[in-house]
Amino acid sequence: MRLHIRTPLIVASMVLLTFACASAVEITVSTDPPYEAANLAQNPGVEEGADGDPAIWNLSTAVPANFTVGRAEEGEGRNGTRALHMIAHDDVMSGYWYQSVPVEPGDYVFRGWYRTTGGRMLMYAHGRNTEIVPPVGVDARAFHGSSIASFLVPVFIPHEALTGPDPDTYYPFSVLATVPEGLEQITLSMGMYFTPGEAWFDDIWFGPAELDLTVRVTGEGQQIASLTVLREGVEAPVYRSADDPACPAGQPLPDPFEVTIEGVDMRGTYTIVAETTAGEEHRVLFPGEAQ
Amino acid sequence: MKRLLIIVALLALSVPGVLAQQLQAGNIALHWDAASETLQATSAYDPQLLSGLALQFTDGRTQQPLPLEVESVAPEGEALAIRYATERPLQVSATCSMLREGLIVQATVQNDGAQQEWIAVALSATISSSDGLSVFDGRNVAVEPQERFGEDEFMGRLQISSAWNADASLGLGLASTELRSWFDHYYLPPEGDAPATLTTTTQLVLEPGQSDSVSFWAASRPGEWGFYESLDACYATWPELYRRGANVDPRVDYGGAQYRVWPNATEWSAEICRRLYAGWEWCYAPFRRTGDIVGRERFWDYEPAREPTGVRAMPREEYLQWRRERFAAGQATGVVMGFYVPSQVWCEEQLAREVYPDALIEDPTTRTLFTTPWVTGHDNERLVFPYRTSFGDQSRIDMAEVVEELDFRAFAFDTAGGRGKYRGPALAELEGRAWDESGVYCRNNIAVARLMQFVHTLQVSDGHDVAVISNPNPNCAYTSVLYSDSMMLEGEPWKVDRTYGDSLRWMAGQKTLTWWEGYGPDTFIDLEQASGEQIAMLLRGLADFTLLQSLRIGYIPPPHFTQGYERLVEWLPALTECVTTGWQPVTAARVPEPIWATRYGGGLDTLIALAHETADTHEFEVAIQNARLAEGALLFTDYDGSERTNRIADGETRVPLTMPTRTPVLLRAQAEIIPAAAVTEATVSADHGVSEGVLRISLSGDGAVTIRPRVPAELQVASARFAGAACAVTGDAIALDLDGQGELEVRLTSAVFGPNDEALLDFPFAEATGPTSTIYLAADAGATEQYLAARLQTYFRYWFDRIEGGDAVTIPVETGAPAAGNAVVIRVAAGEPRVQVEGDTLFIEAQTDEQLSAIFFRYLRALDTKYWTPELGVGASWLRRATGDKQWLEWPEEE
Repeated sequence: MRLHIRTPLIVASMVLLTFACASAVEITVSTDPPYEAANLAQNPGVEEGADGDPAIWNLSTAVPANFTVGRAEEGEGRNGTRALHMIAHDDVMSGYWYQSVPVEPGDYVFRGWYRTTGGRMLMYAHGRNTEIVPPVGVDARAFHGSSIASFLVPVFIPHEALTGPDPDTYYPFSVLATVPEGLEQITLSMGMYFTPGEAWFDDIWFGPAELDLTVRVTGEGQQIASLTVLREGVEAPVYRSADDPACPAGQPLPDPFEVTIEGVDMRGTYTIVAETTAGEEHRVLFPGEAQ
Repeated sequence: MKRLLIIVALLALSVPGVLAQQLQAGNIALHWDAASETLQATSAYDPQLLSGLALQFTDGRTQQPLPLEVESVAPEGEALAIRYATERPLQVSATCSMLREGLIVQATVQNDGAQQEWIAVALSATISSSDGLSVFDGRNVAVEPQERFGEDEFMGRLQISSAWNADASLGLGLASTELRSWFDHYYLPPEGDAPATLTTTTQLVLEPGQSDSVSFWAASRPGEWGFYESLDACYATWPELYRRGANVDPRVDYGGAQYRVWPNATEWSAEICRRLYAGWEWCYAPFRRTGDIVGRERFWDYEPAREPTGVRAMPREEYLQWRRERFAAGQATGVVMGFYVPSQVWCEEQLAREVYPDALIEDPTTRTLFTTPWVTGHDNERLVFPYRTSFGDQSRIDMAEVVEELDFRAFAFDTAGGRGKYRGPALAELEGRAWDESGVYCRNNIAVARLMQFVHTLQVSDGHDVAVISNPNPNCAYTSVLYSDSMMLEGEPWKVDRTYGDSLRWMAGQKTLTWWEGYGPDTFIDLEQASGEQIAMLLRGLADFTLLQSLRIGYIPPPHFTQGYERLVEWLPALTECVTTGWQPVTAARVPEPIWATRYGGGLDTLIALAHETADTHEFEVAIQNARLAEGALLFTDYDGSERTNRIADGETRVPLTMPTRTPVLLRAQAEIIPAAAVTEATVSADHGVSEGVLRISLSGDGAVTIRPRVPAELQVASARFAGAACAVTGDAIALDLDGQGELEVRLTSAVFGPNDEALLDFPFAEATGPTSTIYLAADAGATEQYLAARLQTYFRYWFDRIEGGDAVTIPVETGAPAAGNAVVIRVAAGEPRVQVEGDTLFIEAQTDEQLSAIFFRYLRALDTKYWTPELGVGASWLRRATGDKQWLEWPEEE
C-alpha cells in the first residue's frame, strides 16, 4: 500500500460514504477506479430479476432437490433490499449460486456479505482452462459457518459455547484470487458446503485486488483534529494523520482535507474515523454503508 | 392375468409344514381352496390387517398383465407348488414355503421364446382395514397415509416394507438373499370398493431360453413395535445375513482404528487401539494406481493426471517393500488390517479406458469420472463394473494375490453403495437386471455384492475367511450391507440429523457399525475466536451426543471421538459390548416420551439403553416386556452392577429411574426369575471382577422359584445363600422357596483367573523406577508366546512412559524356568487354561495359542481397571486448548 496525499485538491469521484452522524462533518470515500464501476460481477445487489428468480445468478448442484433457492423478498437483503437466498436441506450435496465473469491475469478480490442461521458456507472464485498445456486454474476459497440453528443447541451445545455470527446480521466475506495467464473467465460461487443450513448473500463485488482509496473530510464549520483509517481485524492503522508529515502536529487539518491511500487491499473492511477538535468522533465504513 | 389370491381365513395354525394343500409358515397359514381356486391365508394376530395377497406378473414393455391361469396346485416336498398356463412362450410357476418364521413366495419364469422378455413380478397384500394403519416403505414411515406412499427410489431403501396397526404387523418384501438391481414398495389407500394394498415389486429380464426366480418374503407379528417387528422377523428368517460371517476374524466386530495404525504404526499403536476397542484399520489406498491393487509391472509406469507424491512416487520395488513392511507392522499391533479398495468400482481413467473398456459404466444419472484428487490423489478415476467384465475378472485375481502376498484379514470396501447402471457388453450375462426408460441395465450393487461374496471365499493363513469392512452410507443399495461384515458410516452422529444413521442400522441388523470423521469443532465455532472453555463446552456436548446416539442406534465411536475424552473412554467397554451383543429392533421396553430405549441382546445377555435429549431431569419407569426376552422375569442393575429396584407385575419388570440431561443409563440383566409371578419386587446389585463376583438380590414374593444369574464367561456359580442358608445350585440355576422377603447372595468364581482380583491386579509387574518382575518364556516358545510377552512389556512401558511421563520401563524377558523374584510365566502348556498368581509367580498358561491369547487379553482388560486412563494422546491443538493443563477432557460434576 502506498500513500499519496493530495490536499486540498478535490478529486471528482463517486461519493461513497457520508454523514456519519447528525453533525455537519462530512466524510467522503472514493476509489480509483470507482468502486461500483470496478465491480465485474453483474446484478451484485440482486435487484434485477423476476419475482423470486434473480437475473444472472444461477444454481449449481448435483442434487437440486436438496436445495430451496430464490431471490429473497424485498427487505431481506443487506440494506433492506433483495438478496440471494438458499436453504440446504441436508448434507448430501453442496450447492452454490454462481455467475461467470471475464478476467485478465492478475489479482482479484471476490467479496460480499452473507447472513446465515446455520450451516457451513463456501464462497469461492474458481476456473480452469484445460485446453492449454499445462492446464491453468484458480480455486480460491473462503469458508464461513454457524451452528446457531443446529439441533444440538442448546441441550448439547450451550449458547455460551458458540462464537458464530448473529443470524440477523450480514457479515462480510472476501477471498483473493490470482488469475494466471491463459484463464479468461472464472466463476463466482456462494453456497452451502455439504451441510444443511440457510444463508443469504448480497452486495457481491469482484474486482481488482487493490484500489486507490481517497478520503475527503470537511468540517462544515467544525475543525477536524485528526483522520484515521482502520482495517477491521488489523491493529495497526492503515492511515493516521498524526503520522502524516503533511499534517503539522497540534494544528487542525486543512478543510477540506483529502488523502489518497494507494493500493488498498480490497479484501478488507475499513473504518474511517474523523475527530473534531471538540473531541467528537465521526465514523464511516468502507465498503459498507453506501454499498 | 390370473391372480393368485391368498385370502384370509380363520384356520388352525398348529400344523407346521405342508399337509395336503395347506401350509403353516410362521404366523401365516395358507390353504388352497379348490372350490374358489384361491389360496387362502390368515395371520395369527389380526385378520383385519391382512385380507389377501396377490402375486402379479406384468409384461414390462406393454405394462399389461400376463395372461395366466392356474394349472395345478399341489404339495411339493414342504412347499405348496402352483403352476400356471399361458399362451405366451413362457413357463410360470410359484412355490410357497416356510423358512424359519417367514413365508417365502418364489416366482419362477422361464423364457421359451426367441426374444428378450421383461417381466415385472409383484407380491401385493390386501389390507381390509386401514384404520390406525402405519406404513414403512423401506425407509420412511407414514401414519394413516391417505394417498400413495412409497419413495420410488431404490437406493437407500430396505428390501422389506411393513404395515401395522395396534394389534398386528405385516412385513412384506424381497427375500434377503435376492440380488436385484431394482425394487419398489408402495402403499395404495382404499379407493371406492378397492381395498388398501401394500406391494413389493421387482423386475426380471430374461434372455431366450433363460429362467429366473425371485423370492418374496412375508411375516406377521404383533403390532406394538411397528415395522421393527418386521425387521426382527426378517433377521430371524436369515440370521446369517445380519451377523458377520461366522468364520471371519472376530476383531472386525470392534470399531475402526482411524489411522492409528496405517500407514505408520507407532510404538503405542497397539496399546492405544486395544484400549480404544479398535479392532480394524482402514488401510487407505495401498497402491499406486487405482484399479491396479497389486502394483503390476506392466501398469506401473503411466502418465497420471497429477504428479504422484509421497510413497507413491517411489520406484515399484521400493514401494511394494514399503507396503509389505507397513502391513506387517500393522498386523503386529493386533488389529485387522483392512486393505482399502474403492469397491473396485473406480479405476484409473486410462487403465479403465485402454485395458478394461468393457467394464465402463456410462450413466448420465450418476458421476462416472473424478477429475479432482481422490483415491490416490494423482489419478482421475472412472466408474467401472467389476463383475463378469475384464476388470471384474482381474479384480478377483488381484484380490486373491494381495491376500496371498500380505496375509491381511479384511478388505476395506470404500464407496460400497452400488451406484451406477451398467449397460456394457457383459450385460446379457448378468443376473439381477432391470430396465428403465433407457433399456436394460444391471446396477453396480450386483457387482459389489458379488465381489464381497468372492472375498468371503478367500482365506488367510490362520484359516479365517477374509472379511469385508465397508463404507456404504445410508443411501446405499441394501445388498452392500448384507454382504459386509462390519461397516462405517462416514460421518458424525449429527450428520444431516440425529437419525441419519438409523436406516444403515436397520439394514445391518446385528453387525458392527462405527461412526467416522470426528468432532470437527470448526464446523460449529470459529476456533480462533473461541476460548478454551468454549471449545471444551462444545466438545463435551458433541461427545455426550455421540454417546447417546451410539447407545440409541448401536454405533461404536472410533478414536477421533474417544481418544482423550474421559466420558467416552469410560463408556467404551459398555458401548462395544452393546454393539457386539447385537442391536435388537424390538426394544420390548416401554418408556414415556421423551425417553427413548434401545435393547441389545436377549435373555440374560439383555442390555437396555435409556436416555432423553432434553435439558430437563425426568423421573419415569421403564417397563420391560419379559415375554419377549425370557421365560421368566429379568432383573436389572446398572451396567456396572450398581443397585436397581425391579418391580414385577403384569408380565413386566419395571425399573424406576431419575435421569438428568445428557446422562444415559444402561441396564444390564443380572438374573432371571421363573416363574415371574412369584416375585413382586427385587432390589439387585452385582460386583463382578475377573476372578470372582457376587450377586445380591433382595426379594419380595411367595412360592417356589428358580433363579438363573447372569454368569460372565470367565466365571461360574460357586455358592448361593438365601436368608443366610445355603441353597441348592444345579448348574447355574438356584432353587428357592419364597415366603415374604429375603436376601439372596450368589458367589461366583473363576476356574481360570485367581486366586482373587486383588492378587491379579496388584501383581508387582513394575514401578516407575523400573521393572519389578521378569517374563519367562520356554526356550522353544512359539510366536504367540513371544508376541504376548512383548504386549505385556508394551502395556507397562506405555503406562509408565506415555501415561506417567517417566522413563521407559521395560519388563525383561528371559527363557527357561523362573528364577527368584516376581515372575510372569507365559506359555502354551498342558492343563486347563489359567491366569493364576502362586507365590511370586503369575502363570498365564493355556493349551492352545488361541486360548492363551484370549485369557491374556481378558487379563489386560482386568488390569485396565487399575491402570485406567483416558489420556491416549491428545493431538489436535484445539483439544489441547480445551483440556488446558490436563491430559484429557474432563466433565465437571455439574454438567
